[in-house]
Amino acid sequence: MKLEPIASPMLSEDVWRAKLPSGLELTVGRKADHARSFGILSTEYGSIDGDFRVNGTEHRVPDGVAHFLEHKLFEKEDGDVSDRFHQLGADTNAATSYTTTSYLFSCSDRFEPCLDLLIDFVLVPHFTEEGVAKEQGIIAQEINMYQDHPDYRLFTNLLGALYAEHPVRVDIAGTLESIAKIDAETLYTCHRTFYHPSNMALVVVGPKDPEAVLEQVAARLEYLAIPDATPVERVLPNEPLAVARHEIAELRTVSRPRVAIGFKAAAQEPPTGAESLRSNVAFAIAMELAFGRSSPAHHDLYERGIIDESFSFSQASERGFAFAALGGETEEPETFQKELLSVIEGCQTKGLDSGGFARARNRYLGAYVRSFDSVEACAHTYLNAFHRKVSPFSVYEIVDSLELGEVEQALRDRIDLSDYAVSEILPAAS
Amino acid sequence: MSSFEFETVRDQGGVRVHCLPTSKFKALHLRFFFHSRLDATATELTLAQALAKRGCEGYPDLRSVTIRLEELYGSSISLNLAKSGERNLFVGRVVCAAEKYLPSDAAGLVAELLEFFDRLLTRPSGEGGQYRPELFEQERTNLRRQLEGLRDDKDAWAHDRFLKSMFSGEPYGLYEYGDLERLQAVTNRDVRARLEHLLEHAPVDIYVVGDIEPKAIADQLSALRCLRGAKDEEPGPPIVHRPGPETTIIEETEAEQARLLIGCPIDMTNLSDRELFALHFYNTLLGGGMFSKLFRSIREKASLAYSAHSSLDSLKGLLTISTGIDAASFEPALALIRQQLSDLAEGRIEEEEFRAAKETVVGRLASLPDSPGGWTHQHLELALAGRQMPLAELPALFRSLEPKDLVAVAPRVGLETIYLLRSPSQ
Repeated sequence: MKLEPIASPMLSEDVWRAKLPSGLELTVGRKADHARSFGILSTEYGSIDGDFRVNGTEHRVPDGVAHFLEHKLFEKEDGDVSDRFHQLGADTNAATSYTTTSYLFSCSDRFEPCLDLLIDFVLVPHFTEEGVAKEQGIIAQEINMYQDHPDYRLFTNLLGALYAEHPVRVDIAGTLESIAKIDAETLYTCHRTFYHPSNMALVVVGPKDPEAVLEQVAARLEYLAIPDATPVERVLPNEPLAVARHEIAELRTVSRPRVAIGFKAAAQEPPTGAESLRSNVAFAIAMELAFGRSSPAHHDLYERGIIDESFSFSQASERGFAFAALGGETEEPETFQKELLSVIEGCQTKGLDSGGFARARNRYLGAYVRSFDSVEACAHTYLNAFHRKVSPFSVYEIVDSLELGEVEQALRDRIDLSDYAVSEILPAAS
Repeated sequence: MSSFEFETVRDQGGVRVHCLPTSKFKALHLRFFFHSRLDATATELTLAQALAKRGCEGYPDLRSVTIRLEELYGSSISLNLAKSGERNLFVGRVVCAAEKYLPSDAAGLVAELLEFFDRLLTRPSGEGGQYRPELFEQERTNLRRQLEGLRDDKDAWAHDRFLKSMFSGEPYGLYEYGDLERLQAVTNRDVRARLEHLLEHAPVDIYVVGDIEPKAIADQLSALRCLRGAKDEEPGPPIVHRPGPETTIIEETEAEQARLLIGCPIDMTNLSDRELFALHFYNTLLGGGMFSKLFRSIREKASLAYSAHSSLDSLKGLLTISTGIDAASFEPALALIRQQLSDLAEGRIEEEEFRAAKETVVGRLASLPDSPGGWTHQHLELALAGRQMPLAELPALFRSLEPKDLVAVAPRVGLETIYLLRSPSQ
């Protein structure tokens, strides 16, 4: 158990990694001149992990359990954990994504008790039927709150259209019906299965001495006497490559139509490692060159009023799914669709702008340098690198060595113009 | 870290330059705050910002502006308006990576970036004191859509409706990005004239955080045209709101969740420094986090809401409580809110919650020097409130507060407007 330094070209950031005997991956970034420390403990377990096998038994739990569990871990026999963080002058929060759940704190003082508390509360659960019943009311309001966001509806409807079977099609928080089926036993089963240190990473960034952090974490895990891990097999359905449905439209009280176009790509196998990251960066740059604010297409569509400030694009590649999406508000949903598809076709056949490619590298480099100014952003970068199984500084090397041909190829590989889905939110007559 | 304070290196002719030289950050952060009074011309200012992003002399459109910023190593320039009391701050934010972390051809980056920022504000594209007509019409349409689209964001819509109800006829009730009626009437020339007036007359605070030599950056700034002019219109103190009787307003829109907002006017007369900080602490304990009275009572104990919090505009003297609930829970949620306010007034403050709130506030303040934006904002807020003290003293000041300090300021907090936005079907 030893800290290994991670080289950070250009930046002189001090970062170390170690693997603890229980399997926990620890990353420590030292920022000696900062006051604030930031800690995140994260498990590779998210909303898509509702179906799994342990010791030959298959478990199929209701949608929204990972998110529900995240809420309930804060409740302990002697009260809410966030109260204890606040007594220590720290802020705390948590978040559930499709594939991960993360718990964090930030403090400027009393780092050591905060770190112990983080490890304890995430690894040692206390669930009761009473607590579960109470949380159902709170999460129902959270679900309703998101239902009121038209852009959120647009996006979740799009995923529902792209995917027939894969659980990414369901809201991370589940539904009012599914959360009603959750009980304490389900939460214990999922916690036992996915909250083993061997499935988790801890990231600490701040002014603390890395050796002292390692020593403290090792001692705390030893104190908790973590049993050996039981192997778990995640079960994901067979998802056809074709989109589930081509169109989905919903009427809501909105002032303008919103449109999103989604393209489903073959899931990366595996969606981790340097090669996968390289392909994702290449595709991100391709989308930027095709649709970014300095692209000819953006200029043309913006000047013609077909897109506006609300236009955006995104991509994701995770366990069992990969997609790209383009969307925004528009007065002319038909034209919006037709024009965006035609831009992609042009880029796929004629190639991308080489001048833009050189500038995109500049921009990446500047943004990369700037992102290390925030303790929090650093922590997320290091955590993401753990989940992606790459060095946190590999993006720079990748951008530096990418060639335009690879970027163009990524655009052809990831977007199939013969099969896509369109989601629309249209103004209901009032 | 005791010397981690802004130094005001220039204060003359309405231009104040505050510098914090530090090698702590890998980027250079500049923020420009032009001070103007919140009035109906917010519409023109919003349009002027949108049009500034669309081009300037030598860079005639959004694309060439973006390309220029990419060439400057992905530097960013952003413009926005921020409401603080009756001020509408015209804010310019300029950030670039420090030259020493970039390849050698990045030398001179800061000077080029500042020149470009200045050009966007002072040399907009177009001729004869007007913007290019098609650009102007397009941005007018964009703003119209943005203003109409406010309804789509139920939280923002409820907040705007709440302010308009409570501050009807007062500038504070204005939306900082303008209004539809004014937008119809405003002309291309009006917008350009409003921007020129702002640059000529609005006093400006500039904050610089990064690895810089204060004198060198002050010299670079003095070359900017946007910092010339008389800068002689200080917006003056906030308008004192005369509290009215308690009023309940219920409005309807299609929404899954009802939004409840409560407006509590605060008597700000003769407030000492200690009382001002006690008010901030009062707000924190009431609704400033998961430890707060609102969060614990409405969410954790009664499970009525996912979010329940309060915010304080200490310049205006307004505390706003907001929560998202099921419309049927309106009465019980309101009763809980009243209970929390009277608990504070009567000193029913548990030792644990008080300590949690205090430790959190002190912890957040101690972390603030790690954020260039947060540190800048803190300095500006104190300056606007007319308070002068080193930022580094704030944690100790908050630490010295006791429950009786909160009880002492509680009578200043009233309860005037209860606003509920709900669905007609609820």
